Amino acid sequence: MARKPKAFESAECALQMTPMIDIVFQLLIFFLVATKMRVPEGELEAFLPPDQGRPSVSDIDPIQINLRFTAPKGEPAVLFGKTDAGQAMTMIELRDKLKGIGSDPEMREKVPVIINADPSVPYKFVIQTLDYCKKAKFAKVNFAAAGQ
Amino acid sequence: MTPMIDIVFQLIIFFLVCTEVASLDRVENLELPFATEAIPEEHKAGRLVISIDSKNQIWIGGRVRSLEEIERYLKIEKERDKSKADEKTSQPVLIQADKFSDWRNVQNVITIASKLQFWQLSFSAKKEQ
Repeated sequence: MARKPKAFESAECALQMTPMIDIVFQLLIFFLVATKMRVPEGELEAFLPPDQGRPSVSDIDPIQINLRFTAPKGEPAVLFGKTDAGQAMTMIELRDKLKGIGSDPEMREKVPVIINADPSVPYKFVIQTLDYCKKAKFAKVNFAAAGQ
Repeated sequence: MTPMIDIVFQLIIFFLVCTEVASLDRVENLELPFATEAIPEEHKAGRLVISIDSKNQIWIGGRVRSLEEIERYLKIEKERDKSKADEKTSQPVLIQADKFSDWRNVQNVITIASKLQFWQLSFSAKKEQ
């Protein structure tokens, strides 16, 4: 039997793998880099009152936190009570004050907290306030209804 | 060489499919506020997601909606399953709002949701490092 010519034999093996692998790796790296990994998100529970619109019947005076609009994207002025009594506070002072009140288990279990934010206050400060209330372990946190 | 190429192609296809799934039902460029007390998000079946971007537009299902449309949408969702009425079983609603969006819109959405008796409301926030 005659042997096949040498040139033909080598042509069969000459399927060029290396450039193909190069390109495939390029593609792989491209997709690895281009894939935006989803940032893990957390959630904060909102406390909605089970009865809508009816004023609460408890005799305990709630702690009302008022977030007053100051400047677009700016930190709101924090005031307490229905009449905006006292000196305006910053968010950090609010955190410390809530921590102080919340250190009493009686207070944090029974006294409701109402967050009353101006409509133009950036959302992040409201969430921050809710976060501080959670951190101080207050059991009842509510949002004041619109137009109050 | 051939098995190796097979595996590499498998990987490419895997990443292609993964990217598509992750980008569904999300509003682009939403910057969530930070919260230290945020608990890790868990997947809840049938949860409604309402997003509010930094331009104060409210999104549901990839489209901007007005407050009236949201009220109608929530009403339809409510009526679809009347068994989910009480506090424990009501359909969960997640509000994803940009950190610089006005409180006004979030407040309006909360008001509508509580009027229609959606009790399981939560806000999404990024966990502070």
